[in-house]
Amino acid sequence: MNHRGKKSTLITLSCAIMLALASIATAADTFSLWVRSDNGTFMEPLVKAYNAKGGDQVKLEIIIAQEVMQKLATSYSAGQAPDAVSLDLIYTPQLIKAGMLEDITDYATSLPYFDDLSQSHVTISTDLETKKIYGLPYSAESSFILYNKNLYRQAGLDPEKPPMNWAEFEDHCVKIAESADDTYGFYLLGSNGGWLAFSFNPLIWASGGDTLSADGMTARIDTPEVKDAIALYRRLYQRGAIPESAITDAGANMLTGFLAGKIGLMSCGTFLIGVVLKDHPEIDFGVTPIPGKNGGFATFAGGDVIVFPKGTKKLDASKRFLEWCYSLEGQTIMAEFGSLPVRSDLAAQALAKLDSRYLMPAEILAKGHTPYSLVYSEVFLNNNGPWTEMLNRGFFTDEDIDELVQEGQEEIQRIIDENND
Amino acid sequence: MSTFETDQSVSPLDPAATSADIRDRLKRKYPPPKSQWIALAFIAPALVLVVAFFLVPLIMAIWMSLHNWPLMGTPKFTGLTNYIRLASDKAFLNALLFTGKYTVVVTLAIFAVAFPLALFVDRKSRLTGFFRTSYFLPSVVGFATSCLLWVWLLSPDNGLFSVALQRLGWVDKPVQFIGNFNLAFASIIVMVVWRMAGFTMLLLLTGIQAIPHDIQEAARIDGATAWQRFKLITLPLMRRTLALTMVMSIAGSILAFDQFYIITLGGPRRQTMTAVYQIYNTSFISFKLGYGAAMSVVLMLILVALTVIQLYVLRNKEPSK
Amino acid sequence: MIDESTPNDAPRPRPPKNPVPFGRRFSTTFVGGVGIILAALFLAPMLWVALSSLKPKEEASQPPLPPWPTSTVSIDTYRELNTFGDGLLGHSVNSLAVSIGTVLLTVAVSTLAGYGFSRFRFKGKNILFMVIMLTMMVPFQSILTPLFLLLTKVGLQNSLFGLALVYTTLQLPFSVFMMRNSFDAVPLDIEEAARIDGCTTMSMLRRIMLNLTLPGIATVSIFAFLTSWNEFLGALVLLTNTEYQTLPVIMAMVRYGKYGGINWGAVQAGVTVMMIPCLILFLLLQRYYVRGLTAGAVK
Repeated sequence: MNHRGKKSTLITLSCAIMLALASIATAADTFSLWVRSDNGTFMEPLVKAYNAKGGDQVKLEIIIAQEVMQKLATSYSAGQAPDAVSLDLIYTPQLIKAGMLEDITDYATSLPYFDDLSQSHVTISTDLETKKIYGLPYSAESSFILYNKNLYRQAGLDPEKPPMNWAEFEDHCVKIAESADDTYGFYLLGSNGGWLAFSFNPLIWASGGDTLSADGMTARIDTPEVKDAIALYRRLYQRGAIPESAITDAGANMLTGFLAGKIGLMSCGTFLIGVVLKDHPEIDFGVTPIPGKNGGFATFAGGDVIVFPKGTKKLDASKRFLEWCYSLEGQTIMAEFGSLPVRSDLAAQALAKLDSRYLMPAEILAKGHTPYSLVYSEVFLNNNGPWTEMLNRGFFTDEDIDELVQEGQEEIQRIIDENND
Repeated sequence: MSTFETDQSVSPLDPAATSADIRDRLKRKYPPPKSQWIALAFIAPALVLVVAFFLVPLIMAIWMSLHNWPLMGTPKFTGLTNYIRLASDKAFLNALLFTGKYTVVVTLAIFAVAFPLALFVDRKSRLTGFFRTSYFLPSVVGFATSCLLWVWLLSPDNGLFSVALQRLGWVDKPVQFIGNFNLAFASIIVMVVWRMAGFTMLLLLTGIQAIPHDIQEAARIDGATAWQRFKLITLPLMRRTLALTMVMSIAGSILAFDQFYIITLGGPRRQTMTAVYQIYNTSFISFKLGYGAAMSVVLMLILVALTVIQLYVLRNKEPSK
Repeated sequence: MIDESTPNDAPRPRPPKNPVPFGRRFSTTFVGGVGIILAALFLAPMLWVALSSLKPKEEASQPPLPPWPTSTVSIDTYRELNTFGDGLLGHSVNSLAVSIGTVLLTVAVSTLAGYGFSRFRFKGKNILFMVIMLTMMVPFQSILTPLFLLLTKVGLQNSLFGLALVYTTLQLPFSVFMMRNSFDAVPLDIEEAARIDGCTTMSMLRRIMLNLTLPGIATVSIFAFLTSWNEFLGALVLLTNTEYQTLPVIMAMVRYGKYGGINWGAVQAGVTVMMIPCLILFLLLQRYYVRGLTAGAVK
């Protein structure tokens, strides 16, 4: 090894020592963070960027989305819980009720941008009675409609005029379906309860109805808004605007039709924008909010909150990471890899470099709904549950909608009541 | 591809005679008091594992079944409430009914395919080894893996079957294999038969080949037809093999889960929910661990009872040695 | 199609070499043809998926007609598969480690127990045997949560060794049953002769009995390997860290993409990766395997 080599070794060595000293000074720490597999796309680059800074280290575990709660509960009861979990926000009420989370009220309200954080996320992380806060917004997703402008043109519709109410919505879907043999107006996952909650609920909210009371204790299924929305989809199906494969699809073929350019409209989340931009530049698409019966719009504010299982000793390290995620740098990385910004004050900046069609989904997030329920999983996420069954029969059979809705109402109320025993 | 052939040289004696012989001599050779501890020493590792990783968790599960035991939060002792509720739980009873129906149909279907196959590959020909291996190979692929493979094959738009049928001109639009109950159920049966027939065939073949050749030969000389020989010699002498195969098939079918979880997702509209699927949903989607445990206990009792009945029926009919 | 020639495989006098009559020859050909068609049906799904996995990305989500890649052979689908979890290699190593560990443990434990049940008489023998068999009658899903708590207590959660112990337990009913019958089939004389030659029980077991029960051991090994290689739910719950996860858990990730969308190319590659080791192992050991089943299952 020559002189130069020695010198560089020396430099490396001193750098290492300095780094080591620096890390002692800031008490750099390693903490474990669980995320669901859906969010792996942006979590991996995000954590990589953070760890590369050389301070705290995040040990990221990606858990299959459907199994997060089960793994969290078993590991918690065995004293093996992670330090932080990025969790599908609809699960937070259950964890709060079980007393499994650290109270972070003071920390949360001390954040200077607390009021700019997605309020749906904050609300669902707040205990209804004590008003204490147990989680903070982490990633966001909203539901809205993507439509294929090519098919709009093919059907003789104006591609710059997406539907503003149900009548237009139905009309567009049917016209597109009729414009060619193998095209359809609309696609949905008829056997995926979680997806139906995400994409179907907004129709009801935007028309002034709801499926649950605000405290999640009363089912509001047996209402005119729910019946009308079911009838709307039934008409679409009966008029040939929805393909047969929607009946059994729990997600396997979710994107097949739209990406092949055979589906006119689809209720969806921002991730589809990413997929189309990346893999199917030939599809000219637009975005528009999910309309109400007579106008207006609504969206499901989804995504994750970050929570800290009780007893974690790494809360400070977790907070430092979270604050970095909330910075413009963090929000920009998350936006780039598929999560909407959770800070409305930074949204426009974080999305500046991206396609302009990301802006609308981020903006409507502020008016988003998130159902609050302790039995969300059993009622809505369960693909064999009462919600999925009611909608599937409602859309795709001739059964009486009034009866179906009444059955669904009773079954869902029963599940809520049983849980309260 | 190498072929496999059954080889009788391992147990040249009539198996039944051998074990009777052994038992007889064991009585003389190993009087109980002396060998008790040695025997236990041999069995100890197995017992330790079964106690630690099966019996203790099982007892804990039974204990849980007496509670309202949420996934998170504190359990509440409720005695037999879970069991009482089960008796009128329509979803669980429907799942049990469906499981029963599936068990009967799939067992019959597997035997209907496997028995002819076993007789077929019992013939001696140059290709016999190849046939046996080919029919058996699907059994080697993991069950969940097979299911995933069939999810793809059955997929209407990018799978094999539907597109193939369309290209043949037999159907004019994509076939929704899991779209209605009959088609979904039939698809599962075909898939399971594909996966299991070879294995059952092999078990049956070992039974067929254990029948002493002389008996068949003697019957042939006496002028018995092939059918008579099958009915009067092959079937009765295969009772033990048949019973073992039946017990295994029935136990496996009653615990069926993967194929419905992966392929039909319990649908369409909950019509293909099996008992284990219901247990899984109750425990890990509804997070009611206590109630799920109660379902498991009931299912276990049903399975044990069925097995005992099968073994009892078998024992009764066994010719006394 | 079962004609009167249904023979056993056991050696028997050859039929006299008369010229084969035409009808007979036709039926042989016909039966052979049927056999080959059946073989094609049984093998087709496996060949189909393995061939399709070699398609480039754009082709992979198209219907598999024909199954082979039409433009160019590519390993795109395997690259896609490699993006799940911590990468294909690490998870394959985990799976292999757990499977081999399970095979070794299962063989050791079930051989000892099989010998004990076959060659000794003692009080409670039948009850102990039934207890082991009971393991087969309980859905694994229902003991999973208690099992996790238990493993945590003894510090074996999140460990491949702990998982191998659990898999071994699940394998015991079949394996002990198999090995007991294998030992039953070995004539007592052989053992007596060895004893007269001065062998101790253990050395006799090692030197003589193991050879004679090799088919049984091969059968037990294959079953143990197949089960542990393919098991999903236990691996998912009992292992926490992604770096320890086995292939089936990664396959589950492949199956549920975002909101359930499936990457069909990765599915094809994954199914192939899951299939190949099982097929190879079976083809290597099939000779023993069939003998093992014969000795073990006829009882």
